[in-house]
Amino acid sequence: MKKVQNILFLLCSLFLISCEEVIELDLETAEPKLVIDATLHWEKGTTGNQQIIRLSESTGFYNQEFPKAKNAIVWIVATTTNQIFQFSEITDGVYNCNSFVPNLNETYLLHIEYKNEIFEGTEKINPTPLISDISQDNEGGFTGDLIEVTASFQDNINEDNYYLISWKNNELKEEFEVSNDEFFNGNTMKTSYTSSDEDEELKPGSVLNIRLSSISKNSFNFISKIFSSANTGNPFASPVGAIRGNVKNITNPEKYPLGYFNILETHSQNYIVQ
Amino acid sequence: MKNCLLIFLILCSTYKVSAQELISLRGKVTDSDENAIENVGVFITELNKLVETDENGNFEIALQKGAYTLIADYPGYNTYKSTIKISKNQKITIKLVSLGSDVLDEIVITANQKKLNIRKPEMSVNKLTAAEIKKMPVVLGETDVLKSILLLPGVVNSGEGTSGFNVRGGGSDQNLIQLDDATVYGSSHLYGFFSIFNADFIQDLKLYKGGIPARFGGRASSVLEISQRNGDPQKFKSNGGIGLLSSRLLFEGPIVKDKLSYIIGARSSYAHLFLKLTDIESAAYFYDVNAKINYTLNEKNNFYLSGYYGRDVFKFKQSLNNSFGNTIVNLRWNHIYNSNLYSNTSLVYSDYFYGLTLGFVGFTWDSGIKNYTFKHDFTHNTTDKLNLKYGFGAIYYDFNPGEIKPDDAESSINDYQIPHKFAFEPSLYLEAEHELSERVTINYGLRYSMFYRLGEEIVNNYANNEAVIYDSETQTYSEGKAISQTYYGKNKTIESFGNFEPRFAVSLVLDDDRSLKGSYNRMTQYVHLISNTNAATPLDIWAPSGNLIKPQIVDQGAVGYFQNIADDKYSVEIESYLKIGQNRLDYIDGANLIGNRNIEQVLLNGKTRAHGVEILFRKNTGKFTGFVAYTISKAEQQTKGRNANEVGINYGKWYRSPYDRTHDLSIVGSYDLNKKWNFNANFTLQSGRPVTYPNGHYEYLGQNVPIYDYRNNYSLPSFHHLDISASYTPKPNKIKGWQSEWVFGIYNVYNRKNAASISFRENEDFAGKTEAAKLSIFGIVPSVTYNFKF
Repeated sequence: MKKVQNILFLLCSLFLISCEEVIELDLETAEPKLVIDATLHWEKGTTGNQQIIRLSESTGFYNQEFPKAKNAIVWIVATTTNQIFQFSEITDGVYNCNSFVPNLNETYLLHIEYKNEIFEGTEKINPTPLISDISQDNEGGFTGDLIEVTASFQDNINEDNYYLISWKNNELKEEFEVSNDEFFNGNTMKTSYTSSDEDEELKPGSVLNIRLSSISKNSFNFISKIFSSANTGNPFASPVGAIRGNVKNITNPEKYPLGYFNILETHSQNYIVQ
Repeated sequence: MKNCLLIFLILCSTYKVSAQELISLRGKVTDSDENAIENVGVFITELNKLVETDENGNFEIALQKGAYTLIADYPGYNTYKSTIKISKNQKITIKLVSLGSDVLDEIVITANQKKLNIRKPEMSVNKLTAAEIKKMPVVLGETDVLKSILLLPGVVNSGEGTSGFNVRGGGSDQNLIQLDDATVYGSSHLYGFFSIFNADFIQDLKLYKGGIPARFGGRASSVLEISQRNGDPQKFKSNGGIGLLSSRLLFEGPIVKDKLSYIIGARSSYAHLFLKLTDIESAAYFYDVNAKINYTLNEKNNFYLSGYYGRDVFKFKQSLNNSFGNTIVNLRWNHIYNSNLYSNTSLVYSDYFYGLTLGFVGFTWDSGIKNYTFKHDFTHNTTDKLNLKYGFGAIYYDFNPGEIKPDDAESSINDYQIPHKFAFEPSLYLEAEHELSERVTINYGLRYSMFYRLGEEIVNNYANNEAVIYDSETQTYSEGKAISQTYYGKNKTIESFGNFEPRFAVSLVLDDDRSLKGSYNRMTQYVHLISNTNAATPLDIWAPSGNLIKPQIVDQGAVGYFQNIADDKYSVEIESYLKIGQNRLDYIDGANLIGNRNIEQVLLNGKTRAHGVEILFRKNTGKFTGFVAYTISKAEQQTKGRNANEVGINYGKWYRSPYDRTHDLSIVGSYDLNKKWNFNANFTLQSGRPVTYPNGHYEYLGQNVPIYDYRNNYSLPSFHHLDISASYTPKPNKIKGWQSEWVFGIYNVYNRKNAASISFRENEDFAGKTEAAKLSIFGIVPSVTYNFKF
């Protein structure tokens, strides 16, 4: 439903003689924070042994390079079995584990030691439904003349569900979308993709990768806020504050880390545009 | 002792004799359409005495038998002068004839307001007439009632192209907008670019920023009273205009001469506003219709029936269909018991509707608010020192927070109606204007307002009565879960409130030209606008107070100094105010407000405070008139944690409201070159809107995420523009047949690219490169409008 705000703004700009320009603006830079990009994917039917966690630091708004968080100690523990999975740094800020064992409904704890501070957070693996159908029409987009691909999946009527969907068009950047079943409970849920960017328009032969994951409510809230914070300038946008994830700084709670620890069962499908 | 008694008797008899000789002259001042005119000074030459009309146009004076010369003078009208013989108690009507004509004023009104009424204990009130509003240069030449008040001190909005206005640091939902007696909810067309009020249909408007009399209530910050015109009871007339954006046409005239008259006006934008004409599947337009019938049964009874219907429609092929607007019907009965007591009775139906169909998401969304209002008000002039106003009223509300429907069979959306909410708001008040001495006049009053939240509704119950839960580890708020539900039957009271709202104002006259005034008012507001955006939008949803949402209470105190200078040629008003509010709703971060079934789960209670100094300097007479208004102010809000463990919003610290403007300067000037040409200019300069800028960024899920911390810690660059207009009347002396006028305007003459917003994003061509982008809405906008009447 967040879309509505954006549409409203779009409409306003559409009808007006508005103009946009890039400006120079001095911005302050806050003390850097640890950024935890720990989204573990366990594709249905695979072992999920191979996992990667990326650690970096936040930086000034105009800086293009994100400093890597090097020399951290990283491990994950399954809270019921107490099995520990060590992650080792393979390149700067990238931590790898080859022996991870994912289990449905198991809760995992992420532990990071970085610059003499300890960070911890937990997340559970929620079961993800299968992508049941992928279809295509040529009436997508706001203008109704773009190729649109729609994926369907069955929502569980007995619980509140939250989903993270990612779309990858050929080798372009992944696009994410979150949704929930508030208005769709128990239905076949649909999610659609059209590229709004002219250079990345879907063409016959384009390969589209769709990945569906169930996420927790907490994670849904977090990712929704991340997306809306990328959208704050317009006067119809909601005010945002600091966005905190599920990982805490145990040593110094005031210096909370950014990012989120997610561990997801996923179902992926490739689709070739007709 | 005997002597004393004798003196006493003599005194009594003398008193009696003179009392017998005094007779009362009562009068009413109206324009040629019999619209009462307020604040007209009626001067009795022989007595060297000035009396002023009240808001019903009435005045009264006690005098002895004889012949008197009465002079009535009001800006925009020919001066009335007449000698009458008075031998018994008498009632007269003074009709003021508008200078030129009432629509195409060839001669601009010589003052925005007549010289200041320094005696009346009324402050923080600004008045504009339709003629003045029409002279102000505006975007695309589209005369706008609401934009004109933004030039007044203490009034701002969220920027160009946003609806609503903010008075002395109050929210846009805290303004009571009354069209005659009807409360208006959505007050703008085109998502905020133009107001819904057709200036041709409007007599004048009055904005109460403070010192709000007891007869008004229901909103916490201000009252905007908009009076509609009455139809001409004598002859048929018509006028209209053709502009770049819209055209309008108005007819008025008698059905039964001097008994029954009508006025009907309509306005419509062109159907393909800003869209390609070839695109027949899409449309964007707005229209509104005003109508009023005025029936004079006899001298003592007048009836009015008025209606408003307006809609905005936006269609974009199958993807989007958006329509919203107001429907208002108002029946009013004006009854005169005797020359000292009259009453006004109103029945109002008001309906605000918002509908949106999004084809590409597959749903239809309808929401709105319906109101049924009854009001019975009395004006009672007991003595010439004490005037009373009292009355009662009630409003019944039917809120539709929203209904979601699938728009076609393919849509996977579930049909869902968020249950309607119902409420009843009765109130009663007594207000007295009391002249204590030559120098001191006070206006005091008390309003008692009640609010009943009624069934039928199923209400959620929460642990500790807290619908929002707090996670102390991540320091974030999130939606709570109801532990149980209670069913309330139809019209069963779920929760009730009662509040006393004292009002007080005093004027202390220093000498003939100068006075000091002070005021205090408490206002209670039981309905809340659920909006998490900085600017008001048409899809905002209203929610009533109830078991988890408390009524907003605002206290305001103001003091001021008022002076007329150089034989009233100039006037100056300086006011300072302090305003403190409780129970202002704030929203948890990331709150989803649209389609939210349990809105209480995302709301926290906050406080507001605002203070400022306003200076208004006017030149009232001459070829060149105008005013300079300057305001320095601060408006803030705070939402603390509910207990010591919680951080609250923005770490529980005060932060600037989106409508905080440190400096706000307006200069408005009008110059009459001759009967044919009139020139106008406005200049506005104000501090930029408070905004939140990032203090860094990071990468997550391959996205560039800006980091925000404290809310509204920066301001947009300062906002300023100069607008000019010229009106040309080819034949100013023509008063019969087709008469015309051209209005040429330029908005934002020096093409200032004012920032409406600044967004932070990744460069489209270079991934990873971040940039700040400024969006500006109106550059230089020329316009031409042709007005006519016959």
